[in-house]
Amino acid sequence: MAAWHGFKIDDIPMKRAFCFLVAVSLAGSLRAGDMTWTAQVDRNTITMNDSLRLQLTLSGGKLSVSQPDIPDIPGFRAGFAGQSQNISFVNGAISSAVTFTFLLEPQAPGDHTIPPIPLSVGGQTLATEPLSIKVLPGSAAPLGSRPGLSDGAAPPAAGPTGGAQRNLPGGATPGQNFFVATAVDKKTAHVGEKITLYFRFYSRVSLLSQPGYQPPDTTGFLTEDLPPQRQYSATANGLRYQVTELATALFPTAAGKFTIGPAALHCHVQNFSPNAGDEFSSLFSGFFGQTQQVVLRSDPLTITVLPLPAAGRPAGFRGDVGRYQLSAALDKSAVSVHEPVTLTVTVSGEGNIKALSQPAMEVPPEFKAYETLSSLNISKKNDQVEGSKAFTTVLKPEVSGSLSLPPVRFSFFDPRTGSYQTVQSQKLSLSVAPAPAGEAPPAAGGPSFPLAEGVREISQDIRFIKNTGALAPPRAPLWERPGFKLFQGLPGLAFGLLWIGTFLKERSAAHPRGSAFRRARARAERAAARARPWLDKDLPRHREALHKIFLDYLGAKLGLSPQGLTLEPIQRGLREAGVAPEAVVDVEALAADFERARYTPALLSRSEEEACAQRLAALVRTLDSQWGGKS
Amino acid sequence: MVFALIAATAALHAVTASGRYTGGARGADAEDAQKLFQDANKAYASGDFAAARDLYEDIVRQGMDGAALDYNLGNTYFRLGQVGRARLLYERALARSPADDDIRYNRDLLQQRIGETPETADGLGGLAGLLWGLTSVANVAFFALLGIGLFRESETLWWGRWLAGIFLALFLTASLAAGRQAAERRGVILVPRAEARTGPSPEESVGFVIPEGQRVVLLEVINDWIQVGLPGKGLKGWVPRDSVEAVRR
Repeated sequence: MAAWHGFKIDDIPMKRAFCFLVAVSLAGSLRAGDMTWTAQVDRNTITMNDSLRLQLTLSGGKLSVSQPDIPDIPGFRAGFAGQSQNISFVNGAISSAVTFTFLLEPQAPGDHTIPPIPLSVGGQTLATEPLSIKVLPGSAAPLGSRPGLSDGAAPPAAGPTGGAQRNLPGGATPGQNFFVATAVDKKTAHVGEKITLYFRFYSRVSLLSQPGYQPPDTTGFLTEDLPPQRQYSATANGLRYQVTELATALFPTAAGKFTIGPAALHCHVQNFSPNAGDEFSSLFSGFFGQTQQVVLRSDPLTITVLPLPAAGRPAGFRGDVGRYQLSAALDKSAVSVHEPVTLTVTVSGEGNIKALSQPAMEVPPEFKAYETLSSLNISKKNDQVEGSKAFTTVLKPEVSGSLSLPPVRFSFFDPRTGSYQTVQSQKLSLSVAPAPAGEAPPAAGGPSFPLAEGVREISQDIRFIKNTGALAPPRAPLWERPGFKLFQGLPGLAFGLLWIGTFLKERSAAHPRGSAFRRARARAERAAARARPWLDKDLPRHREALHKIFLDYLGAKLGLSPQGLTLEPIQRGLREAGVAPEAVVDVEALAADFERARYTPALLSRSEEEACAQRLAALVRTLDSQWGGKS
Repeated sequence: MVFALIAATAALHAVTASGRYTGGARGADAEDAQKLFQDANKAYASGDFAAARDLYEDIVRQGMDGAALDYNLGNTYFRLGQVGRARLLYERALARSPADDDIRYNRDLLQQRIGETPETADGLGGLAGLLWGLTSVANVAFFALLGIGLFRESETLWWGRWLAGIFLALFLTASLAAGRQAAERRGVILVPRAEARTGPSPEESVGFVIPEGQRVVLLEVINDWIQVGLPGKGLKGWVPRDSVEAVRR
């Protein structure tokens, strides 16, 4: 909703005395010369909503010429807009010119011609050249569609101060002849949302010089001019005005209430006011006219800026507001390793293009990325700020293969829908060939080789699968199985056995006859039993077995080797052992029998052999009882 | 005899440490499993991770196991974005083959991705096999030196017996501790965000939140809830039983 705001007029009176002195000193110096009477328009093509400035200039003539009569101009309605004089010194020569300005309002579209305009001066009748003007159908927004413009909207009353109350050309009150106003297209907006500020200058008179525009204080906003300056006619409070309009886009930077300060317009207008009063002034008013500088100011505006909603805010949102699209492209589709490729990410749309933030780009580690540069392309048509911002990044692939760049995402707040939007580009692919084998540049003074880059980790990822591996039913770990714990006892067990064996061996060494001594009788009896079958088969062999039993027994008991054992050591041993003499006699007798049988084996008989076996058994029992197990 | 024992022990523990002891896979089953394993590997290499997962899981359903199988299946789940399953299988593979560098690398990378602090990740439990191997060697060496000492004596042997005895005591202590840790029930969170409550009920308040893939200690089960602990952080809480799975089957 648009709003009208009042205006103030401050005037700065012209230095009339100065003008007077200049005029008097120069008037006599004017030389008569060829007079020219020309017509000039500010443009040849206008629309129905524009007005045309027609300037009629008399050069080289006298300055006090009367206002020319404008004939009817087909297709236009003419209104006098002012008169100005100009005197110049060039190389000592003086020239003068009087210019009459008229505003022509088109009445119908089409091709029109401004006919020759006559002027009578010094007895001469001059006429201008005809001018062709093309009037197009109106293209500007109709009245009422712009903020603050509607036929029903009345301009504020004139301010009470200074020159605003002076009589101005046309005899109208100051407020009705010219004033300024500002308006915005919205008084409430979100942070970053565009607000269009209109500054309008309404005038029914012409200005003597280009006015000076002083923009308002827009603290709290980023501003963007919206050219071009527009001119059109508008009706306000029943009066037709020529309107000059400046538009500015404002982008709030923070939430809260902000004030757009007053805008000012400094302009010079011609004042034919009779309030100068004195004849002196009246005399020269026709020569120079009377000018005054006025400063028109608009009233401040208050804008309410809302914060961006927290709900639904995407993670990658960086404060951009508007409506945008996103695209991304690589300048090449196939390169070699280390060959640069340019990634261009373009955000285009409507909003504060200059302040667009860089979309979040995730550059894979396979690439080396250089600094991102941005470029702008802004279009300002129909009070909209549109365009694109391109972010260019040079990438260098570090590895070969089919590489890809993930989609680029860009989040923004769309004030039209009141929601956040996220757009993203397509995934980009790049085929990277291995780097060609480089050749080291020849170096003077010795061989050279390329500088090694060193090992550099490009990316971190899991390692590849294993192509071989044993498969088996699940089992507990080896160290948790019962067999493993038993295995742990084997070394100790082995050592224990070894220790026992060693112990026994040592004990045997300490007691040489120990084991054999104790087991001699048992061995003798088992051997006798084994020899018994020979009684029926082979009597000499039986006797030989008994002889061996005899020697083995005595050897074991006496600690002697049975091999080659003779009677003498046996007798000595038995005596040393304390065996009874009767037993020794029996041993000697049995030894003699064995000795005799060795030489007469054919004389052996079964009964004799049985008797010998019994004698041996009895002897063993006797000796064993006498030794009693002592060693 | 003593040297034979040493050799046998060393060989046994070399097998234990490398994790190549596989037990007895029988004939046709093993061949079928190997064929499936190769097919799954091909699917993985071609980027068809879903197919690879199905084939690896078929092998598991056949009752087969192995460090490489767990590792490959863990990689497949990692590629499919299921970091909880991936972590579980890496832990299983690592328990089976603790010296495997690839398994440990992938497990550590996943651990890093989920923001798990390293001090809570490793303990003596993973070294149980190695420690038991060292214990066995020290055991054999100690008794061998004792045995040699039965036959001959020297100062070197005397010192050797002492050193072997000290090592045996140290390794045995560490092995028993590692064995206790290895026997400790550990699990992995399988849901994206497990809310650990102060009691075994949804009515209890949430004490902390555990990310998917985090390894936890399994403590106590009540109905459909299981108490889990994070020893490194001194936290205990109850989560639904189906949100966590034990590393040891």
